[in-house]
Amino acid sequence: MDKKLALGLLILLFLSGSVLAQDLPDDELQVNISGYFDSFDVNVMYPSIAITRKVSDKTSITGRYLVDMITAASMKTGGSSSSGSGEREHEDDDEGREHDFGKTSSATSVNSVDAVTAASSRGGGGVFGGEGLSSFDDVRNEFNLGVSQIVGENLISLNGIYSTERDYTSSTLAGTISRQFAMKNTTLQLGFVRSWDKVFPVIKDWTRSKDVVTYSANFSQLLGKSALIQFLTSYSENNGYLADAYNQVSVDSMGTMVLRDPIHPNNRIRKAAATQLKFRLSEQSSMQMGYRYYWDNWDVVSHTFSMNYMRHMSDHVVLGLGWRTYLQNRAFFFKPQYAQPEALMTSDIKLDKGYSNQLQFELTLNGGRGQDYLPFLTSEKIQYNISLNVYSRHTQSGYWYNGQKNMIATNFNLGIRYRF
Amino acid sequence: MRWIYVLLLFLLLILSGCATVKPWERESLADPIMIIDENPIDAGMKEHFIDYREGSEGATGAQSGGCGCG
Repeated sequence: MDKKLALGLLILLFLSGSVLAQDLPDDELQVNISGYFDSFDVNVMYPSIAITRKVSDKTSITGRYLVDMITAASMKTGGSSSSGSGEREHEDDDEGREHDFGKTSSATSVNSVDAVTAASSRGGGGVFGGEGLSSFDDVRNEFNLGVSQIVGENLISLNGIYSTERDYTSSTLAGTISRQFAMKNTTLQLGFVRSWDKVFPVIKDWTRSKDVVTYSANFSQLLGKSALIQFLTSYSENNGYLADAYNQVSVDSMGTMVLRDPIHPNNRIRKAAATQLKFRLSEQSSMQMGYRYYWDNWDVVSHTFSMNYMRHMSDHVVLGLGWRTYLQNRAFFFKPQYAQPEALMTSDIKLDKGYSNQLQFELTLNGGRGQDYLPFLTSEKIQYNISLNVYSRHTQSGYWYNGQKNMIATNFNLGIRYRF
Repeated sequence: MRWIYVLLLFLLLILSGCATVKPWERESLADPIMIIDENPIDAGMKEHFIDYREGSEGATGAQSGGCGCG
């Protein structure tokens, strides 16, 4: 039945009459330097460079390279637990076999793992092997190559993403097809993402797979000369190893709390539906309001509310202020501690009941005439972006590693866009 | 998933039927402050870190690659 409805929708869409061709993305070079710092002593710097270029009237290609450079205080102490919940004695693998944790302790001291980020220390060599990045504990490289093609009245985009780090690789193929109709008042975009991930934790001797398939449908509609609305939906099916190998679960064993590996279901079906409304408040300002409802078969349900205010401060300066609030309940198998081993166990803080708030600040400087007093802003082709986000999260249970229920994080970005 | 298609079909029929904004009337809508996620690369990177901090994801319009941090 689902397939028939989807087919009907597609036929209606692609046989509909009043359609107009869509535009390819602008030619541009974008360089960003971003950073993330939180109260769990995690610091991440992630510079990136992206280029988009039309190669014909109907074809555009995009390339992007991003590197995550992670440092964490807990890595430098070998990732040892400070929760006080008990001494590590044994660990189980997914099949429930017990191992002497002492066998892995020496490996842990060399290939230390951060319990907060799950990032693994690069040790002496690392990805680059040189000293230039030696102050970072883990490095992730992400490569993205994409092509956008106008086919008839449709805009089709295909992206390949490959991400690699010491203990994880991910290959992703993503595609979207979008079409405007009703005199460009309506846009429908259908998307497909397929990921093939491999996880091979440095403290384990196994490799496991994780496969993700995501379908999305986004619908945009102009509501008038100064308002538009967007509806977004996604359906994602995750299969394979879905736990974080570096998280641990406290389990009571004959009166002593011991740490064991988490055991997650090997299937997760995730669904989300969202709407965003954007409207003009005045000639110089706009407001965006959004809501997302999320639910999955692990009984996680969440609500996300967001507001974003944007204002032209001058001909060349745009200010953005945003607020985001997130509420989530607990996965059905989450417990801060377990009285006895269970078939499914997790203390992953992402699956606990909690809430978060985020404040967003953005400043965009556009180059052009009238900016002669600032030599780096004289070109109309250049744009500078500055953003700062302050994020706070509260969970009902303390994190297994440090016992903390509250986390504060800041995230900044300095970016340059050059349109050529 | 069936309800999503039904909803989209409903929206497609209802909302596309009342389109009234002509191309020459879109000066206000073309303003960068009226564009949702005007910088998709930046939006994707911000979403990536939030995905790791929370148990939900999807329906954001943003796209990023997988990593072992989640």
